[in-house]
Amino acid sequence: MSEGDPIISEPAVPDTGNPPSGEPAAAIDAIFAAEAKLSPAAAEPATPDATPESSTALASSVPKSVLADRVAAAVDPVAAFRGTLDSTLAEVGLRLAVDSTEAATMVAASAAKIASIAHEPGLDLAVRAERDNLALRLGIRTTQAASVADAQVLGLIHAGIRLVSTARVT
Amino acid sequence: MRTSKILAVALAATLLLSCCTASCHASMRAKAEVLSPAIAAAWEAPSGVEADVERGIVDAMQDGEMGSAESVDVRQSFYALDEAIESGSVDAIRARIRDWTRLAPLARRGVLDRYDDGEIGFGGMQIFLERIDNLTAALAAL
Repeated sequence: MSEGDPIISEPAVPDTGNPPSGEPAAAIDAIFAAEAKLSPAAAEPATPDATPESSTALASSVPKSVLADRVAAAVDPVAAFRGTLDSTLAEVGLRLAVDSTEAATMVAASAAKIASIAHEPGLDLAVRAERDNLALRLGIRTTQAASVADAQVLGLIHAGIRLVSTARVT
Repeated sequence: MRTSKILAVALAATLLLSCCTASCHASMRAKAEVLSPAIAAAWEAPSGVEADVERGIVDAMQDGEMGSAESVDVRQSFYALDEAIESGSVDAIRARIRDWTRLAPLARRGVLDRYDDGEIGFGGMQIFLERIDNLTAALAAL
């Protein structure tokens, strides 16, 4: 993934708590507004001089970065998977034969295939077979040392296909 | 003067060729290093291609399309390929590619048997057959 990913990357200025720009930011603001409305502090202010700012502060107890992840997953599961893939690969020190955007696109195509057969028997077997297909295709295409078939990468691909296909079905 | 120019061109061409050869070898080695575990992952039982081949052998025998002598022969190919893939050695796998050409139709048969028994649906069957094709392509690319 490029560092400037608009949906799931860290904000450009760290520790400000500001959400990333664009549609997810609007969605986060909407969630904050909804939380502020639902907050008991907003409905029945604890003190007479309670202000809208104080109720918003209570609603802000959920870190915005966590909310950003939730919104990204709801708005674009492929982008959410790409972010998970990037961070996990970085953590375990592995790299794929293709960039994560391309890998996420391939996972999305596989997930679409799985979603179309969600009603069929043996779905788990099919998911595993599709994971193998993806790993073999990535391996055939690679020209550099990579970790396509590492157990952790395979697990991620497997989970990605399953989650994104579930998101498509539901 | 002319001789030195020819020598310079020849030297440059040799350097270029050796660079290309080294790059090509590195690329092939990298591909083999990635493909070998990917092949192993796709092959592994209980639901990998290995299981499809076993099922295909049993189905062929049950349908009377494979005699016991032939099945022994086929199983030898099967165990040899299995051992090579499990070893992770690219050379060992390359040496057994001929066995795969014999086993691939049985793997397809095993997948069709899964479908006939209602274990997988039509879309699942296509994905399983695609995996066999991808495995064939991966073995050829090693």
